[in-house]
Amino acid sequence: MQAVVDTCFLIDWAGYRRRELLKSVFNRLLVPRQVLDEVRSERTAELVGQWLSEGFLYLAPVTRRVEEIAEAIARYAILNSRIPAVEEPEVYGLALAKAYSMPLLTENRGAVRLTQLYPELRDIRVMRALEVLALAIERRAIEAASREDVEKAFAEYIADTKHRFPRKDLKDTVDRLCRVLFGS
Amino acid sequence: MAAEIPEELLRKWREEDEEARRIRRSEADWSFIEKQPPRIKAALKYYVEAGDIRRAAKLAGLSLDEFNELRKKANIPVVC
Repeated sequence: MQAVVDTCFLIDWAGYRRRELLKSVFNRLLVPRQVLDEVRSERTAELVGQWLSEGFLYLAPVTRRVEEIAEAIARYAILNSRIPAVEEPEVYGLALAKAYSMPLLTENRGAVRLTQLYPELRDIRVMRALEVLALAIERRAIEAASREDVEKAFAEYIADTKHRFPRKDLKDTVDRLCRVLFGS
Repeated sequence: MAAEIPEELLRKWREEDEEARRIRRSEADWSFIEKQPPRIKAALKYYVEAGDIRRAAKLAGLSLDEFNELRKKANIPVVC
């Protein structure tokens, strides 16, 4: 599976002790140029450079179709004052995800909400770190033999990145994983 | 073009925003924040209230990932 990744996700994920785990979930990540333009810190730049050189990260060309989708998404974001700020990197991330039917890895609430609101964007699968970690656990890329192990996997990410998952989302995800993995 | 937002979705978003703000406020290291130069302090406080990292970074005059490091030092979680 391939996915598109945006800046907020990359920056957070770069601080995670198991950041290479992403390779066991995705074959390749597409990144729009606008995302690379925002990378400044040594840690994120080092990770991006390494993944680009390995071919795991791929600088996606922006075609006319992607531009057209991006323009429509930007219009949606601008016209709706209830949508939190969405800027070029997320707009192009969403457009690439839509154009190539790939998930978008993002932590941007504006991007998430655009896909919840507009029927034209509902087919874009948005994945936050919560969903990516859940997929890694489900595919046994993270070993989990008990509910405690599942909770520990999320706790590690929370500790490394100072990220909190909404309480209900985390509980629902842990419950679902326990049903799938342990039948309980 | 500006789609009408269903009341149920709007309520869900409001609850998410309120929970996120409450977590950021309660976990933030306020003593660290108060010691920062005025522009940085304002940006961190804005981030606690709004949770918009890109605008907070601009307010601070920093890049997104520079601000992210600052956010961690101030113990303000990303809630998403």
